[in-house]
Amino acid sequence: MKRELHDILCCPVCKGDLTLEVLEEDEREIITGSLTCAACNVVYPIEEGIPNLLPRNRDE
Amino acid sequence: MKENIFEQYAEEYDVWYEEHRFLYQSELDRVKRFLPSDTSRIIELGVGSGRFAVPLAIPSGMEPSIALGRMAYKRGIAIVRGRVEFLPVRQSSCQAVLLMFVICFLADPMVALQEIHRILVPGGFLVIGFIRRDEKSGIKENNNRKKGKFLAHARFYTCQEVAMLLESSGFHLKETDSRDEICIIRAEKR
Repeated sequence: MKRELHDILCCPVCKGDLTLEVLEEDEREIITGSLTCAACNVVYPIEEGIPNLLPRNRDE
Repeated sequence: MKENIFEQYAEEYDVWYEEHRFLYQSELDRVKRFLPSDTSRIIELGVGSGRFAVPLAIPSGMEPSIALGRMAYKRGIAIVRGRVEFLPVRQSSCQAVLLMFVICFLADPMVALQEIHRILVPGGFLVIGFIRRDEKSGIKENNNRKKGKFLAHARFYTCQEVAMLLESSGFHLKETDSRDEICIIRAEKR
């Protein structure tokens, strides 16, 4: 996931801001990390360069 | 259930485009006429394995299936895993959206079109392509038509039905190409 993509992403459920955490990044993009919606208390993972923003609630 | 099919048979879905090159190319040619020459600001929703985004030079896409999304990613498309009905994209942040052969798989197309309307900038546009249901004869039985087992789970719409959904979602229809079994519409955000 390219860093600049974070600028247009939001929570799929509440449309609020997502906090980006980067665990692994190369010269092109973020490979592993997460996007967290504090309002929904849900962490959306970034794995193998692909953020998973399928809608979830905190119990899933 | 629908998404499990795409996960399970992703390779089969993808290879359809190799096995039906003529039909695939004609679909590409038709949709290309609806897009600007610079496609770098377009996002394709339901991008699948990237069979449209790659030749149309569309840089990014969204796809619920991880198996298909990984194929598109390997082909150079920036992928976000997500659903059209719950777009994880900020309001008024996209110039244009492409939606090819997706509406027939959506549980609630109205919600999806409203979401697309939300993420587009004012004056931004949606290009939507779909297999149309004929008003008189229904969908034609054609084994050569797209991806047999996948379409068993599809719900087809007439051009008029999609046009009405678009208008009701806040779009203004600009251009329509309805031939053979396929309809392509370009609609602008009002």
